Amino acid sequence: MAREQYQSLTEQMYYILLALLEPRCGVDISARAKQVSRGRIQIGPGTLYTLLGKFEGEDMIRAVYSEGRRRYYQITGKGRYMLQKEYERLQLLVEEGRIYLEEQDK
Amino acid sequence: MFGWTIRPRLYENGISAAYLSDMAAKGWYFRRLGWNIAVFRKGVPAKVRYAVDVMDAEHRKVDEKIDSPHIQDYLQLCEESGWKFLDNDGALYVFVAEHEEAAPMQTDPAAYKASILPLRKGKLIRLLLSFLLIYLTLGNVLWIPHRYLAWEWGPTVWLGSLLIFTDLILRIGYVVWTIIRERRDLSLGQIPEESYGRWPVWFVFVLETGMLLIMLTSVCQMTGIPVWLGTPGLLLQFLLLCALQEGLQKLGWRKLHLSREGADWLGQLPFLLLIIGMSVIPMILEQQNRLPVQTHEPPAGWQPVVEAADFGWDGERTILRYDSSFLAQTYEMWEGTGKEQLRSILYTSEIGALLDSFYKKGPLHGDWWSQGRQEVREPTELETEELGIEEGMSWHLGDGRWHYLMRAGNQVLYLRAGQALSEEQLATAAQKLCEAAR
Repeated sequence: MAREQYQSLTEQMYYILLALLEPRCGVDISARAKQVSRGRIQIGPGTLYTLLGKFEGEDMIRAVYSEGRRRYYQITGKGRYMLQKEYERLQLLVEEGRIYLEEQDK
Repeated sequence: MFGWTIRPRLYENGISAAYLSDMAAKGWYFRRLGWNIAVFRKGVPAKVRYAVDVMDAEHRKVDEKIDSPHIQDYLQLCEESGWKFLDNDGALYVFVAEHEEAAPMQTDPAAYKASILPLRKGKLIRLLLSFLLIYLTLGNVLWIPHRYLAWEWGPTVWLGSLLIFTDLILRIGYVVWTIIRERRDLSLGQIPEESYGRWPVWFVFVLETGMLLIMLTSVCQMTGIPVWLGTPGLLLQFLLLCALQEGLQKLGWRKLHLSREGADWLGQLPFLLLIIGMSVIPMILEQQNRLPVQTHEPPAGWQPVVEAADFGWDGERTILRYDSSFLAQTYEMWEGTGKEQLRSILYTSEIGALLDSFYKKGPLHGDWWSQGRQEVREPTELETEELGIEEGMSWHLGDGRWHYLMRAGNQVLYLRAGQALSEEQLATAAQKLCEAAR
């Protein structure tokens, strides 16, 4: 679905996986993503529901427990690996960009 | 106070958040959806945010009900995010924002693409199938010139088909435009803005109701079924077809364990069979001259005068018969079937005068036949001007089996190939028509 089989993640996907480093349920995921991004990222419920379903289908997250109707998810080993890969990719982008931009400034 | 309006169905979803917000600004608050309508409650005009969301294609189950755990999880998530559920229609769910800070329903282009585009494509395919069905059925009947039935059905059928095609083309065009626009926005990393065709409700009502009534009337006219019987009958057929579609979808999903897409295609099978049944088979039968023709017994006492020609490629033959009441009826016979169908009634009160005039100039044809020439030719200028003979009539006799003899008004007399009339025989044939005219 997203960017060639999760080779890179969209911002929304990235922050959802970050939020799920600890067990969280639906609306808490959105709140945590907003907090971590300092209010920049807003995840709509339709998007969140779709992506949670996709991640669960791809075994990147799993449901760990339920409280009433609320299901709590947490990232899996595969999900953590994908998140780490994305983090390193973004770091590489930033680093290469920094080198090139500094050369231009000189 | 409650009101209702026809859903502006000239766009693919049948309901949109922008439309609901516009209605709220006029004081009409959405309550629920009905079949082809949306029900509203009157209130004070206000600015209200609505959202119409689509559950993503992979998670939509064929026969999932609103109280299933899967759907309830989704609705609860939306409610906790500040969206109150109002009603749904299939995969479409309508929400109203409970506070202004509620995040938009869709915020990720990739997730939006997974939810919406399969729905758009499915709708487009269904519309194209409908267009193909209508084109092959109505078009097969109406637009092939030698299908004489088309001309006899009159303006009702033409208006009905025009409205149907207008409606379909508008919808297909809107879906295509929406897909193009959304793909463009998604490629830029943006959630596409929702829009809807702001057609006036009265326009939609007149177009769709008028189309439905004219279509039903024209089908009843074509089939000979009374309108009072045909209208509920056709509606019943349509409902049965929809029920069959849903049943096949569920069968594919539950028993055959097909994918969502496979189950959808299985559900389309009745429509595909209808397309084949109503279009391809008649075309094949027509090629073999095996189409059934409505039979009609000629009235008692009618005698053939001469048998007339094949009209070109259909294998039709017109048999002229006359009686003493100055009327002649023409019958068409499908070659090889032995069946006849009443085509038209011609008045021959002018035949006598025309034949007298024609016969006095007879040497043209008398010489033609007495000399044994059996050729097909175009009518002469004299024949065209004085006898009202249409040019090109003889071109239909391409097979050499029939030859043009004479024409008066709408009646044309031909001779079978190989048969030649003497002048006496010609006079006898003309005399009979003159006597009938008197």
